[in-house]
Amino acid sequence: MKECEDIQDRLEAYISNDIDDSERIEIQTHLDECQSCSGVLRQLTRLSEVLQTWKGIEPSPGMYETLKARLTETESSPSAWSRVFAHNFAKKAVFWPAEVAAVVLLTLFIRDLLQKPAPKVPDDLTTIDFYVQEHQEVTVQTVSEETSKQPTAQMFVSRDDVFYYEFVEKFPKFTEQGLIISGPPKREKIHSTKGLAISKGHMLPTPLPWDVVDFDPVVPPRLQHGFVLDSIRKIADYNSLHLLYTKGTDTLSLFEQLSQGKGGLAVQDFREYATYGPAEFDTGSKEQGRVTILAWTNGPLSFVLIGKQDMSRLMDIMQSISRTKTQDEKGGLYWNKGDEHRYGAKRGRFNVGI
Amino acid sequence: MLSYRAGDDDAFEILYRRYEKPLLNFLYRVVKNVAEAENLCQETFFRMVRAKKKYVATAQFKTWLYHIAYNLCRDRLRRKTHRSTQSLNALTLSRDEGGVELQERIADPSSDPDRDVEKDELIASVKNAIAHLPETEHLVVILREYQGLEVSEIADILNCPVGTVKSHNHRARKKLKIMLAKYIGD
Repeated sequence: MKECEDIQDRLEAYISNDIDDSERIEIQTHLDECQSCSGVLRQLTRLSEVLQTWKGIEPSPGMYETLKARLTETESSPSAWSRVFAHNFAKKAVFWPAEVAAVVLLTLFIRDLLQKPAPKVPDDLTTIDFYVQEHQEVTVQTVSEETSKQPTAQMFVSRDDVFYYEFVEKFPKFTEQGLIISGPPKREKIHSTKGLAISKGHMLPTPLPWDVVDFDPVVPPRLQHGFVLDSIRKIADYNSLHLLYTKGTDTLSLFEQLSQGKGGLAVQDFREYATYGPAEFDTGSKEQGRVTILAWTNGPLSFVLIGKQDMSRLMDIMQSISRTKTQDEKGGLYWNKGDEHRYGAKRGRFNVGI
Repeated sequence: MLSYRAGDDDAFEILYRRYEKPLLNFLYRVVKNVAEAENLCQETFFRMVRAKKKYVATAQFKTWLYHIAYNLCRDRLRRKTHRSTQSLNALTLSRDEGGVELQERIADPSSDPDRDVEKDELIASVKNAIAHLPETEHLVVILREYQGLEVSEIADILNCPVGTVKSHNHRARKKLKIMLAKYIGD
C-alpha cells in the first residue's frame, strides 16, 4: 500500500515525462501489476486532457507598439519616485518647509552613511533588488491611491537599506549567503546549540524596553499579517532587543539594534538563531525547514526579521515596521519612550528611509 | 537577454515576441480577464526593461520574467481582495472571471456550433475549478499544466522549495479530480 502511495505521488511527473529512465521503468513495472495505480494514472491523464480544453488567447495586435511608445515616453519623463515625492511633499512643503528640508537632509545623510561596498553576490543581489523594487512599486501605487485616506507623507525602506537576507535551510545548515550585516566580526563557526548569544537574556516587562538599551527602539505591538507582540528580551551582553511576535502557533522574531554594529549581534548570531532557535522553526521536514532572515537598516537602527514566513511576507512586514504613522494617538502602532505621542511629534527621526 | 542588456535594442523585440504569448496566457489564466492580462503583460515587460541592468546570467530569463509577472498578479489580486467583497463561494463566474471568452473560440480552430454548448460548459467548469484552488495551488497548476514549466522552474518563480511545488501540485490535482469528476469518469 505504501508503495502505491509512493508511485501515485510520482504519477504526475511520470505523465509529464519529468523523471529519469530508472524511475520510469520502476513506475511502469508497478503499473503493469497494479490496477489501482493504473486507474489513478488514467484519471490523471484524463484530468490533464480536461484541463487542456481551456485554450489560450492570442495577443491583441499593437501590444508591442504600445509598450515601445510607453518606454520611449518614460525615458524622457521623471521617475515614478520623483512623481510620488513631488506629490506627497508638495502640500507639506508649503506649510512645513523646514521639516521637509530636515527630512531631505537627514535622508541624504543616512543614505550616504549607509552606502558601503558590499561583497559581490550577484544572484542574491538581483533577487533582493528585485523584491524591493516590486514592493516599492506597489507602495508607490498604494500611496497614490490612498492619498485621501492617509494625507501624511509616508516613507519607506529603500533597497539601499536592505543589506542582508538569506534563507537558512535546516538541511544543510546554511545556504545562499547574502550580504554582510553590520555587527562585530564573525565569530567561530557553530559547534553546538549551547551558548547561543541570542538565547541568553532576560525578559522585559512590556512596554518598557527603553532603559535597557542605548537607543530608542521602535516596538510595534503588532505587525502585518496578524502577528502580535508576545515578549521582549534584552540580549545579554549585547545592545540588542529581541521582540517575539506570535500568531497562533506561528512565531516571528524581530531584533533591533544600532546600525554600524555598535554592541549588536553579528550575522552569525542570527544564523545560529535561525538554525538552532525556537522549536517552532524545526519541523523536522526538509521541505518546511526553511527559515528566512531579512535585515535592514533604518536611520540609526538595524532590524532583523527571522521567521518561517517567505521573503515576500517579511518584506511586507518590513515596510509596515518602517512606515511612519502619525495618526496613532492612543494605543497606536508604535510605543515610544515615556510618551506615546513622542513618536508622532518627532516623526522621521528614526524611521526615515528612501 | 544578455544581448539586450548590453545595449542591443533589437534583442528586446526578439525577447518580447518569444515570451509575449506564453506570458499573456499565464496572466490571463490567473486574472481571468483579457484586458487586464494584456495590461499586466505590458507592465511585466515594462518592468523587465527597467530592471534589465539587474539581470544576471545566473538567473534563468524565463523564470525571472515569470517572477515579475507573478509579483504583479499577486499584488493585483491583493488589492482586488481589499476592495472586493465578492463571496468566495460563488459557484458561477461571470464571463470576465470564468466564462468562455470570444477570443478563445476564435483561437480554437475546431469550433463546432453543435458542440459549443457542451464544450463551453466544460471549459467554464475547468475555469471554475481552478479558480477555487488556493492561490499557490492555482499558480502551480497554471505554470505546470498550461505553461509547461518544470517543477524546479516553478520553485524559482514562486520562491519556494521544489518539494513544496510538488506537494501543491499533488494537492491541486486531487482537488481538481474531485471538482471535475463529472468529466473525468471513473
